[in-house]
Amino acid sequence: MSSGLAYFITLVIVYILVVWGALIPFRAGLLYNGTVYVMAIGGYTAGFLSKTFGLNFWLCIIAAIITGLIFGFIPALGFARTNGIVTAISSMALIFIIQSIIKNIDFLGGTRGLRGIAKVPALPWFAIIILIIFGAFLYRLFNSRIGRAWEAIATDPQMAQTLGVDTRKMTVIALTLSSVFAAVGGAVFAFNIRVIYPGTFSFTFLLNVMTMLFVGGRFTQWGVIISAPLLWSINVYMPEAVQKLSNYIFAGLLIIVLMLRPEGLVTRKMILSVKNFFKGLFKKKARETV
Amino acid sequence: MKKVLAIVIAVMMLSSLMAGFAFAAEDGAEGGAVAVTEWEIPVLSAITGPVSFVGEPAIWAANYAAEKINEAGGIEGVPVKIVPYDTEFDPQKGMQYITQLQDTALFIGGCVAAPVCEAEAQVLYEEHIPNIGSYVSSALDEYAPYICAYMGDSEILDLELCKEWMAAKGYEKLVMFYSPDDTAQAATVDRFAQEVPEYLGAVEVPTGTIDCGPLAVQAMNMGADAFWLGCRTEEASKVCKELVERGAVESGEQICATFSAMGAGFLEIAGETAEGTYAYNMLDVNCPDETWQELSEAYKADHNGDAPTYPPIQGFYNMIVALKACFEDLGITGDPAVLQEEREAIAEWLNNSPEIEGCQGTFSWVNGVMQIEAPVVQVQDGNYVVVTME
Repeated sequence: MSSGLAYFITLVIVYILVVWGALIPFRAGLLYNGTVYVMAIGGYTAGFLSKTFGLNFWLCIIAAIITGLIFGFIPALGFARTNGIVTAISSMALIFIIQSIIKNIDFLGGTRGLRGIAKVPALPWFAIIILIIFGAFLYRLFNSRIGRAWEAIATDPQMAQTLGVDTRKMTVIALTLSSVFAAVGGAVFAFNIRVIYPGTFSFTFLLNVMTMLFVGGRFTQWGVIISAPLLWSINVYMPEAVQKLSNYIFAGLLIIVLMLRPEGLVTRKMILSVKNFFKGLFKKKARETV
Repeated sequence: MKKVLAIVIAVMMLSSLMAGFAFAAEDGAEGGAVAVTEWEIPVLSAITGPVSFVGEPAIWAANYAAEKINEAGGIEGVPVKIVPYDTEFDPQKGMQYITQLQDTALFIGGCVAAPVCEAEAQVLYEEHIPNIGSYVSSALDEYAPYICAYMGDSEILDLELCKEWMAAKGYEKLVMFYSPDDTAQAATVDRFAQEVPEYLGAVEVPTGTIDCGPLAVQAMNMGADAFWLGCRTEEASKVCKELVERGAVESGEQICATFSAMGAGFLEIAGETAEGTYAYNMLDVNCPDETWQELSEAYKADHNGDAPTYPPIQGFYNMIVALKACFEDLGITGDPAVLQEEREAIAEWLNNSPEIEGCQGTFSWVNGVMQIEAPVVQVQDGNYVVVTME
């Protein structure tokens, strides 16, 4: 695998993880924009531990998961009491807050950034393993009692409460788990780019994440697997002239998709058809075997 | 209808990805490898984005040097082609290009921006790829011999001039303005804090700041009698204007600027308020050297009459000229089979090079640090005049 392709694949996996992180709160009906904030924390945790203590990749990932849990849980306690636009705006503020904090921490490199993050030769393969593990976990999560509770909250919070769903608890769980995904994404990102700056985890990054989420499909976890490589390939593999227009292309696609296909490219109906197709295929084969 | 449109979008995205991979394959061959029939030199620069005003002239200078080399028969009879990569002043973008090029490139030129260079440096070092870019001396030591600076070390030059200026003028309290997104300037802040006794503190001027008034007030409140402009042209000129108009200084002499603040834009934006301010440059705009004069005329013709004031112009021209000298001296073949050996040889040669004829006389590298004059200038009657600090 060429270095360029390895870099591309890993970056796409980072985006998928972070978009999954953004998808979880959406599933629970929350307009939460704090994924990039925890991504920065995960990235800096992994980068710092790798650089300063020489910890290996997997230990750094575990550390990122722990910090993700902590730094996701604390604001989640507050966000459990908010909703709608308040959640959206205040969670967005977390990005600016974390940028300012990191800029003023000397041992994290301040504005000069954190350099010297170790090289992980098998990074794309490790990233694929993480993707499979987290993908499977998310699939189970969405099809569990918690997942159904989130869906109930997203549909009608008051009705969900009436049915016995503890909406606050479910919100805290959603935001905490979302943060774990984002923190792991940040850690993989740090090992991929190997130098991180406070400015990297910016509003632009959030816009990329949201575009991938909305274009791919915000009701299933599968959409981003298509939208992330497709959209990011514009920034990497397109000719210079097209790359320069990537922001316009992203914005244009977002508008078109939201207007014509509000659920995104991959819809729940589409996933159901695919499931039924395979179910039918297997049933048919089973009948033939009998 | 909706279904049809959705399918059209999906097909468009899929085809764009496939086309992308096709271009990627082409990119790998084009940017990275040195073809037998043409020396293709990948050069990174911030052609667009907040520092495009230096990034574009830098690429122009590299192309100009390649054109001149080709007119004179190329490198050992093989023509040179510059393959530009636009980093947009984004380290992530720079890293993306480096990873695309690292398997095949014999040499990588640029970038003009220190943050991008700092990001690239560790990969260049690990992959043993020679590079000439914007580096401070600490980075040059850390990643030797694979990286060289295309101009003098601003950290050292800033400090030397600042001390000289403070002593000559008898100033006692200094405040520095700097761009927090420029790692070299952030490093200079640390150095000033340690080594300038009169240093009071620094004021951040983010790249792209429109209103510098509050920043000037912040500096005035610190009670300084001398102001160091460590930011880039556009922001530095606005800060200068604010300081003078708000009465923070009695004369422009109380303001001194780093090389990156200097340029035509500074005089244009600051106008009369720039009068008397000091700065230094990595190049002499009025250098009488014939090669420089010719370059200067060509630059003006391509840039609406603007003079070539930005140091990367000289730096990127010299970079390509140095490569010619290096390739010819070492007999570089560009054969992929000996890629690693040739990379090592180029890096060693450049890191401690012999004297090379550049566009403003000769230059060389000693441990990756470019040995070149940095004249002190003062704005007098709306022009930069080379002066000695007294």
